[in-house]
Amino acid sequence: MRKHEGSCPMKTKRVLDDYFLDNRARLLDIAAFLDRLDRTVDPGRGGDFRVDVFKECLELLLTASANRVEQIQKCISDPHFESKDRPKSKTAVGVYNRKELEGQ
Amino acid sequence: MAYIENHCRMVSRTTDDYARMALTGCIAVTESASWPGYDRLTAEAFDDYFHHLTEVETARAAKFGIHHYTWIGLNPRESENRKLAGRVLQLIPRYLDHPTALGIGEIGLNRVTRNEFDTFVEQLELASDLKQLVLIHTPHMEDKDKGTILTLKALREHADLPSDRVLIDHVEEHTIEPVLDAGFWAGISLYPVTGSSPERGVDMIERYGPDRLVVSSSGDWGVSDPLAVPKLMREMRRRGHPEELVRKITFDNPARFLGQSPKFDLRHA
Repeated sequence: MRKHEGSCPMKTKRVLDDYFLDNRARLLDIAAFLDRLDRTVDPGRGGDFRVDVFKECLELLLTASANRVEQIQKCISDPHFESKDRPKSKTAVGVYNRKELEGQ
Repeated sequence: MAYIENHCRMVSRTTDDYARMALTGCIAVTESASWPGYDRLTAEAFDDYFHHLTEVETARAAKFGIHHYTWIGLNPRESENRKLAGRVLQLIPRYLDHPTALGIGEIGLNRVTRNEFDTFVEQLELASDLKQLVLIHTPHMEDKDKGTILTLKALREHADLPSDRVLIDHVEEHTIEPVLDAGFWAGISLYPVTGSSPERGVDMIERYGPDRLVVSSSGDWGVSDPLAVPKLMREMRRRGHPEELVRKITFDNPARFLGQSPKFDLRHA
């Protein structure tokens, strides 16, 4: 069912003309976000799991050749397909905390 | 071009939003019974809310020429309280009789707990008994993948519902395929930050085809955009997709799914 090559009706140049600057800006925002983390009053403290997974996703961007969004979605998802008693929070945080939920 | 906003919580939106939606071509909106941003403490609070959905909002939308239809159900977040859930579920059949109530929703899972799952199954059984259309919410972010798989498991094992009468909402790139492969309708939510952008929405339409796919803004009390559907239409046109495809996604498909309820009638739109 899934289509890949040729499923977008635009030509390559048009995609670049229409979307390149938006994504250049997003790239700079990500760089600025990582720099901001380094410039906090307590840089590097805590080893927050969100940053670890975020950097894994950045590596995926460079190594994956197709289905990049799906691969990143899988990378941030809880891989345990069963219901649980009660979560710590009623709200998801954005990425799966492997260390906490696997008792490491 | 006329379009149907398939999921917007208008109780949280201003009257100006109705005006802007009407100006961009919205002729009908369906509203899911949802979490208001806090947990309600009593069944009476839900009684008031269902009254608002079936009476107040219908009249507010009509002033702008928009047909307002609603879903009735206990949302996933408040499904955790099993005692309250039992009381709220007793209210649901009465409101389903209302002429603008299209079915049971949104129901489903939030943090994918056992209590949520039990309440979800009870509402699926209610929908099956009452032969209702069903709108299912899938969890956000890191819980979406497993929540979607367990939703499909619940539908397979605990409900006798025809797949074409069930819409599984908020699909993203990693969950759209199993939903469509199982024969259900899939809804793409154009929701800032935690959902899909209009661009990603169009990417999914291109990759999976337009059949059994609908889009919505999922506009609510949070940062959200009730004009996200016309923005997706603009994105489709920018890429050169034909008007027939734009119409299929934003009008024909939702009309076909919702039209399985005899109450959904746009003849006077």
